[in-house]
Amino acid sequence: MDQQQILVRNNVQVTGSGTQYLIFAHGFGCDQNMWRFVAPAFEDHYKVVLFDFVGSGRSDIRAYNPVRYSDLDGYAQDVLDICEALGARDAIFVGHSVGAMIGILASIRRPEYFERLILIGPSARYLNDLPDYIGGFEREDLLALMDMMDKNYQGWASYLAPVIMGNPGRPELSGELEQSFCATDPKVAQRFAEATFLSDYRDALGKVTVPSLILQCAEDVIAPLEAGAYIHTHMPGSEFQLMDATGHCPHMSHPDETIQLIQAYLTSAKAGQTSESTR
Amino acid sequence: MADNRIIQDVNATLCRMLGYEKRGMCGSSFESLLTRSSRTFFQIYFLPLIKLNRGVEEMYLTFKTSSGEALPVLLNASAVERDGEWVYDCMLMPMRRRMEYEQQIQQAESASNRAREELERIENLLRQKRDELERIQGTSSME
Repeated sequence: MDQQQILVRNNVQVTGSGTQYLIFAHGFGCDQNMWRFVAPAFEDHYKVVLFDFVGSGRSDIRAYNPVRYSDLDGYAQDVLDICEALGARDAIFVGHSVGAMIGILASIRRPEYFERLILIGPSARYLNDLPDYIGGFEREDLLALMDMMDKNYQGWASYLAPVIMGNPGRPELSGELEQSFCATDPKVAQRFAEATFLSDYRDALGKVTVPSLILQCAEDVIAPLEAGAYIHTHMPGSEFQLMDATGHCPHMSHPDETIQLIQAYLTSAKAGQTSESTR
Repeated sequence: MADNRIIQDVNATLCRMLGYEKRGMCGSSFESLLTRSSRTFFQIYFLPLIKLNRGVEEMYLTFKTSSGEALPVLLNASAVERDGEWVYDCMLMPMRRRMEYEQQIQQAESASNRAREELERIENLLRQKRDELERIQGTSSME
């Protein structure tokens, strides 16, 4: 695939007038629109990159390959493809939820593409592994969650299903039909859920060489405190910040706090760099 | 509920449905009324949808009543600005009978599929036997 094809495939949008790339990766259950209260705050100083993982948002559904995207490495490849298409080096990567883990995996494969990782609500494993590891879920919880998704994706609950899936061959249709945000093909969502919630990447954490910030929400049932803390203790170069925000989507529920914490981190990271280079 | 998902007000019908007092419900988090899996689902989907689409239609959730029962509902929510704050007005429709009905439909569909497969199998068998019979009759008439 050539550069332009990748940018179209992942619905990549680049805005902003900085020189350094700031790449936002959405999590499970939505698309790049999740960043709309946060990303614009960075346009003055960065080249802001928004994209949809294949299968989500307005990415090209024809590129969806159930084998490739049956685990998070396939999604990490999306990130690397986009970096390569943009020629990004030393980018700042901001990932939410599973998007954070995907970024971690991408940084292990190509650390030179990333200067910093900012991870919002990350988890290396969602299933409990008692007695030592708390991911927050037992197997029956995950089955119950998949069942909830099934019931919500059925015909009569159509708010999650797209009105029309991307129809690049019929551009005249896209103006007429509205697509609600966070629309995903039900089968894709189910496989993404399995790839996300059944994964275990605890062993990968020790291999990360890119410095990072973990933003942890209070009362987050998907990425509980224990999961965030685990990442912090096992991932070298990580900082941990507990937020006032509750729930799982602080960039939607508490955008100001999210922006402020990211900005503070990036500013102190730059200050650290400057003082190092003047030694 | 408020933007932070704390319940601000409930009507008597909902209190009755769930078996709680209005006093107890106001000031509690909406999520605390849900079963575990619904809470997870809610945390993943509700905020993005209500913030981006300004409304949620027919979200299926399961509530926990005061007696510990699970109550399936359909939730319709719309985001409104009131006194400079975002508020989510929600309507809940109990789904118990509807869920039983859906299950019955699914069971009837599988039974119908199984019956159709059995019918096809029998038809194939019948065809086979007829062919065999013709061959035997053909042979005996040639003797």
